[in-house]
Amino acid sequence: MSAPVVTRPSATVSEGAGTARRVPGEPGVWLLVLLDMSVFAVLFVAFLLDRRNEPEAFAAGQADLTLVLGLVNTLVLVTSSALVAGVVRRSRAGVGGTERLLLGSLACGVVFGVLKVVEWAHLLDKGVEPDTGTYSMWFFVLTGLHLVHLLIGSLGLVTLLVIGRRDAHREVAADRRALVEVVATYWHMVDLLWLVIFPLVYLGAS
Amino acid sequence: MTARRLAWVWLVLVAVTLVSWATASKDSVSEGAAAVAVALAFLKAGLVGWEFMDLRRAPAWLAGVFGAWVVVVGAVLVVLSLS
Repeated sequence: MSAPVVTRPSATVSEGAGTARRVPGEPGVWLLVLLDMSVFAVLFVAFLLDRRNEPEAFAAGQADLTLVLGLVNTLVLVTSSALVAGVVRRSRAGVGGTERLLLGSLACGVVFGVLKVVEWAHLLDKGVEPDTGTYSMWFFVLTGLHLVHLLIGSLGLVTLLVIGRRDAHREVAADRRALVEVVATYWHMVDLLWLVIFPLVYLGAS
Repeated sequence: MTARRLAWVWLVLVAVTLVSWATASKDSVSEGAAAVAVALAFLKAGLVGWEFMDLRRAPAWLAGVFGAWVVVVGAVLVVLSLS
């Protein structure tokens, strides 16, 4: 798996304007992101408290998972996040070339979603359903809630692609750069939450 | 952020992911190994916030609230993973 940003020469893009401290995107999206992160934090704590009560059942439930799918999805989402950071970098510098990066990050999002659905289908085939036990309930709740966030973030990436094509021959407006940063901030949160879900759900003590 | 810095952050995130997978993916995983995997996840979460979300250039209050989430939630989850 390789990210185009790895090979892109850094000399072609300068740093964004100024060094003054500023809120990336809009304060509103940060309020949403911090609220979302807080809700997930409560869920993470509740998950581990339940694991303490039923360690054997949680280990057995975890054994039903296909670990490599969780690992690949983590790498895919980290790569997607890096590509989106590349989009913000180029957007701030006011240069083009963001479409390929956006398409790459969106493709990563699609791969993540498809693998997640494949994983769910595999579990359901094995007879593991949300009401099978406490672990499976948490697995479907955490990964399902996360997938909803991934879908919302993907819609944001599609919006940036559509707007980018529409405005391809115009000067990039400041409000579009702000929209890029809003979508990117949300997308990074989707990545960040999965980084925590992965060890909790897939790599617990067994 | 330069492209080179971005690529390095991506490489570190990938490497740390592989390390946590290697240490906590055996047939029998100790509570200690599971806790290390959780701690590494929060290290990565902090890196995503600091670098990708550009909190290193954000106002102190925002970086502080985010940093507090990483440190407090990370510490609580590591402790819960150990017990």
